[in-house]
Amino acid sequence: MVLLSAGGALSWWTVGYTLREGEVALGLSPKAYCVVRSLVELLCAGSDGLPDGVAEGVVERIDEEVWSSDDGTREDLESAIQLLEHLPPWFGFGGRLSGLSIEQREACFVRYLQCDDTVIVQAATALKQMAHFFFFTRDATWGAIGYDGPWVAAPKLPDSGVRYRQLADEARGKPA
Amino acid sequence: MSGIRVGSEIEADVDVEADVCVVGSGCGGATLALALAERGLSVVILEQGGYYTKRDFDQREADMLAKIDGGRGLSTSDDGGMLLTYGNNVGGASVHYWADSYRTPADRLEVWAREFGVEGHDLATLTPHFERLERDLHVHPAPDELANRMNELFRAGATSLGYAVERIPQARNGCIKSGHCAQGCAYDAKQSQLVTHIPRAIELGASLFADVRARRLVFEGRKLIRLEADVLDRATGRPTGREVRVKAGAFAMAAGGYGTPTFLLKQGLGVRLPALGKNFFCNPCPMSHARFDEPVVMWRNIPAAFAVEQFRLARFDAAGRYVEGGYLLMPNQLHPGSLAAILPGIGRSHREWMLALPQVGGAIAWIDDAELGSIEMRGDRVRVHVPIEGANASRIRDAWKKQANVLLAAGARIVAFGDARDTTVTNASEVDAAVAAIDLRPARNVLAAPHPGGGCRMGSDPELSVVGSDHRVHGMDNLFVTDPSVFPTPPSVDPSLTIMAFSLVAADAIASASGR
Ligand SMILES: Cc1cc2nc3c(=O)[nH]c(=O)nc-3n(C[C@H](O)[C@H](O)[C@H](O)COP(=O)(O)OP(=O)(O)OC[C@H]3O[C@@H](n4cnc5c(N)ncnc54)[C@H](O)[C@@H]3O)c2cc1C
Repeated sequence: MVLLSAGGALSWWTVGYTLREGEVALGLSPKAYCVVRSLVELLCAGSDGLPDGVAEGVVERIDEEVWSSDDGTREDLESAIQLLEHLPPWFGFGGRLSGLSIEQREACFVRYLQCDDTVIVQAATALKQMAHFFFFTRDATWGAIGYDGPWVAAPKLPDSGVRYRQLADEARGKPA
Repeated sequence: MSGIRVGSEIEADVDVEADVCVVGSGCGGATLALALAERGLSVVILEQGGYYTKRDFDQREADMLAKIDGGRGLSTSDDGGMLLTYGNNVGGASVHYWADSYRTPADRLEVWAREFGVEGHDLATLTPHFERLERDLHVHPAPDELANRMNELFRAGATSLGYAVERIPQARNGCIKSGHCAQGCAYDAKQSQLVTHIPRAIELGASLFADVRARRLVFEGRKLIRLEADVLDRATGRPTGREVRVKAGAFAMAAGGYGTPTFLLKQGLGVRLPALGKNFFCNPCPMSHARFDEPVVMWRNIPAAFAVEQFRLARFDAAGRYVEGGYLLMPNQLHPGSLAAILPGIGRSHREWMLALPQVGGAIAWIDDAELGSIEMRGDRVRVHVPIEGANASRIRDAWKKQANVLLAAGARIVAFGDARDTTVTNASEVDAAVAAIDLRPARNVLAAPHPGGGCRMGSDPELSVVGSDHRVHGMDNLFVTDPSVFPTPPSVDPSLTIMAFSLVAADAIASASGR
């Protein structure tokens, strides 16, 4: 957990992280939101008949999940993201994770997943799992992967999802 | 349903009186509530999760995880080694369970009596309860027509290796094979507590508060006089500021294998009950994933129709060295989101699996924990420790080997273990070496823990156990535990029927302690 605390301590460094038009960060810090976006670009790429994960709202869905989590989980995830962002130099990559080219980001992320430090493996695995889970639960991905979809036709959002969307709309300045 | 009040309907503090207050509405709590209501007692059930019915079960993994899974599916053990899966809704984990309904094996009940001093939970006592539960929940051996192609391949592979394959007893009535058991049955066919014991208890006068989390027990000496609970805002999981206060003759904790020890530790009871939170088990579940040439569509039909039960008990050689076993072996069922989360690799290697998803199948095993873990409070945070080492590690490796061999014998082209190094095998001759090389350090593997228990072990010695054989917490007059926390060890099969049968046994002592 010492490393995770280090991740928390790195959160002061926010220069160069800007949310894009329409993005709001309710669960993650704006910086963590940008880092997660760079991971989604890597893990949920639009190819092979699959849509682009960022355009599909995977980053926003992860932010919703973090917003909905208890304080402990939220703090752990935020620290984990900060840590992954700042570790590349220790793995031989110049710069921050979100600033690396996609190829370098992939190489660095694989090193995280296979390294000796349990906290780093845990942090990288959690992010990988969340990105993949929230990508492949989007119905736009199902055709490409041969999933014929739920038998219940209409989705029904959880209360947390309804509330998150209301708050996100308010933050974007849209009427609730 | 009248008799159920949800958090959003509670606009002021509420004071309730009942003969018995039950905390938790899963297999343990709902069955107890029904048994007490049948005896004419007034019962109030508190459930921290939401009340959802089939109209809410939209079969979307992301939506359903948020509605019914404890920690929204994100909870892990302290070192990240184990994904903790549990219920957080009316009906508890029975709403997402697979409905496998095994009686407790006689050999395990004997161990509990002989080695832990458990009384009154022997086979002769439990058998009529099992018979009743099997009738109530329509338990029957899985018929062929409910099996999916993965189930059939598993049976074929296991049979070709000479393993005996059994039909798994299923608690279902009118299953239409959607395959969405784990997201809550949208057809009320799966016989979860939500559609069986809870409505029956309510018909008999029990009442239930959903979105209400027990927070504090108030004692006078050995007697618990009041329970205070917070009403939660379901959208945020945070207290609304309103309270439910319950006065009752007796109180039963049935908050589940994670929830009950955690709650009692938060009450400070660890000081006088040194075994509280110790002896924790969870049936760690190693999984293997396989790609076949044909579509197996693992997400349809029932999760597991067949099992290999011959490895349930670990086997040792004459010198006492572990040889094999210590788990149940079954085909696996997962849906695309969960598969995506745990299939190996990133980038191209992950895509290859995902783009072949209908051909992807797998196997799973419930490890009969040999090394026990613990639940502890560190500050205000809960730490669940599950040892993936020693005897547990041997069993996990052996289960992976058996899974891979079964899948390869069934025709799999490639088998993956989902570990951080993306270990795969394509041929039975590679299996032993590949599995031996898997790094079992925490967070390198996907292991799930769906069957928690043991943290309030039953026994006669207050130094070594938390409750006596009457389910009463040592040193207390009217506080009981009726969930798998009381099991001295894992039951060695899926636990739901054992949990329910234990609640039926506990009902007598609880009824008499209630003063009625
Ligand atoms: C995916 C999955 C598949 C499974 N498949 C099978 C299977 O096929 N067969 C089988 O036998 N078992 C299966 N199990 C396990 C089985 O479902 C559980 O062991 C069983 O349902 C647990 O019952 P319980 O009453 O002990 O706890 P739970 O069902 O967890 O119920 C406890 C309840 O207490 C509530 N609670 C906790 N703390 C508080 C509090 N402070 N105040 C108020 N309420 C509180 C929780 O929200 C929860 O709803 C499965 C489990 C999972 C997760």
